[in-house]
Amino acid sequence: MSNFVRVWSDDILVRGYITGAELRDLDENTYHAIDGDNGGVWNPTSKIIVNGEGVVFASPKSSIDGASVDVTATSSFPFVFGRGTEDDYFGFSEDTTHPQPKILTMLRRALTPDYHEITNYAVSPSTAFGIRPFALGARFAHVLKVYNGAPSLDTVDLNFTVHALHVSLPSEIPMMRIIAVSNDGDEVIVLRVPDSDTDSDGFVKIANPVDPLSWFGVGVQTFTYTCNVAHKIDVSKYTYYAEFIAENGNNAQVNAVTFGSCLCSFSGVTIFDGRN
Amino acid sequence: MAHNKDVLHEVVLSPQGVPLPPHLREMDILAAKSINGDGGGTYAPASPIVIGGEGLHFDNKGTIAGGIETGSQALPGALSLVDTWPQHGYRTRRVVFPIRDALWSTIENFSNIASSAVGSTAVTQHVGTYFYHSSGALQVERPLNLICPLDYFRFPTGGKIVSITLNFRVGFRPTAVPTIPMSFTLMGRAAAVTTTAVAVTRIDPWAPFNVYKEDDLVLASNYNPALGSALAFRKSNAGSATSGGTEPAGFATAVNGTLVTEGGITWHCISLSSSVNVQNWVKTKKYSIPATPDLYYNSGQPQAISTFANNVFETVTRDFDYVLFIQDAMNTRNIYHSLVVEFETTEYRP
Repeated sequence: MSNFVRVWSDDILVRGYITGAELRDLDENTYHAIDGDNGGVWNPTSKIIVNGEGVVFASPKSSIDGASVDVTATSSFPFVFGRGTEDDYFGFSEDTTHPQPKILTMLRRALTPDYHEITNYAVSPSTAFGIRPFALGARFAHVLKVYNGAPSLDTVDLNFTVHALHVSLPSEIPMMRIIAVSNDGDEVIVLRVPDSDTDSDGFVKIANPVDPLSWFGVGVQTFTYTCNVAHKIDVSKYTYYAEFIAENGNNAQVNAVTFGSCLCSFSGVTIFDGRN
Repeated sequence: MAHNKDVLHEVVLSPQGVPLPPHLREMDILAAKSINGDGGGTYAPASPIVIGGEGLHFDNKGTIAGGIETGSQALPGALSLVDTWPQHGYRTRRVVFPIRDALWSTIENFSNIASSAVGSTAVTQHVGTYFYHSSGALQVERPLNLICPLDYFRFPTGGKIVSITLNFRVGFRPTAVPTIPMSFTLMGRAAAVTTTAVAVTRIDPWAPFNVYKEDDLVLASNYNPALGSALAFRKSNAGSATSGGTEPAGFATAVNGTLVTEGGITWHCISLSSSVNVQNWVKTKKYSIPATPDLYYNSGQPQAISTFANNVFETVTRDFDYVLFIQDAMNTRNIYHSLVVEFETTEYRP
């Protein structure tokens, strides 16, 4: 069904009278019509097909509730997101309860001043694999995967494993920090405001073990680095790194820690633009 | 409010019922409020128009000027794109690719990694990659080809590459400017599952009596991925010149770095990797060497050089892996920071 069937033909005025049944049909049609002024709820038994000039939803309150709306390519009219701003990718509401977006980066190939001080390490698929420092105090940085356009990178969870039982705790526990580096390598933004837990460069100890056994033998350990510097993720200008310093000082050992992965958590992500 | 009022319902049920002027007046008002499906128009309902049941179907392109939200947890509606990709306005997007790794000739016995401090323990600047001999000593100037892999999934499928910019710095002040210019380009590589199923599409074979300009690339006729003898030549001298009637004999015996002269053309052999099909995505850029070592060194500060796509923009496809090809002179310990790639895109594809 498309249009209502007209109740009166054009010669109705010649006939000279209107029947009650005709008025009833007219009333019935009006009853079924969509009220464009007051709005309301309709449940059509067949689809309402809009052709011609289509429809403009001008209200910011338009919504899709309860069921999916399919956009097909067969019409040659794909879904086009708005024009006029840089961030015109598709997205979701800022107040959505969508889970906090996360991206996992497996650590596999780091930058380091001395290539011989670290190695990629894999024992077997069932055991820890990642990067192992082979020098005390070795320093290395690994590129992180990120969500472009995210208003903030909130936390980075480092997963690591300690393999060697130490006689005593190393005097300098491994440290990490998260940095954004400009494309020319000159600008480095540390994504954490210095506090009592950081050193002057923003590094934070990845654990605070109380004895050698709590440093070794507890399986995979997780340390959460909190980022609290206001910085919008922008992959057109920056590369994001997790940077590490291996354990050092008295009682430190080489080849004792495997740095496995970093899980980045973001908040406020409202667009997905495919760049990360 | 949902349906319009059934104005005459009770009146016409009675055989004696007569619609009165107020009834007709009310029907007229309600008809005026109804959405005109034929003529269209603008409506501003006081409450949302909610369509359940069989829903709506839009045959033609509509517009959502005010934005639209999909459902809540209680009413989890979704917008599903069937056999199509979400699109957006025409944009030029930039992505920074950090340079952190490379493939290089094993014969050279070089270590390839990396520096975030270049010998300093204060890792606050100069994050990038440089290439050095395992002995740590600076090398005599000579060309070394480096193939730097770039993160596959960061290239937007369907996008077109417009330009690339290499950010680097010269890490060591030489006593004289180098004679071998650093050069770079972006390439797409496909695994050669069979040597005949794929064709080199972006680097054309050498052609007789063809005008070549500086930086043009050609393939030698003995190009044979299966044999690992992929040889490409770049016109390394300035200006334009016309090739001869037959392929230069020197092509057959050239190795990486060999210069072959053909009339007014100097061909520079830039042996590509073997067993791969190579697309040359952007015009190879040769670094214009400054006149003095000081200018070349630039106090170790950042430098950037750009090059642009070939005449026919290439569309990014998952059929290829993308690599940055650098020819380094190896004698100034250049630090390569990043490659900035500009894409033209109109749609989002995962």
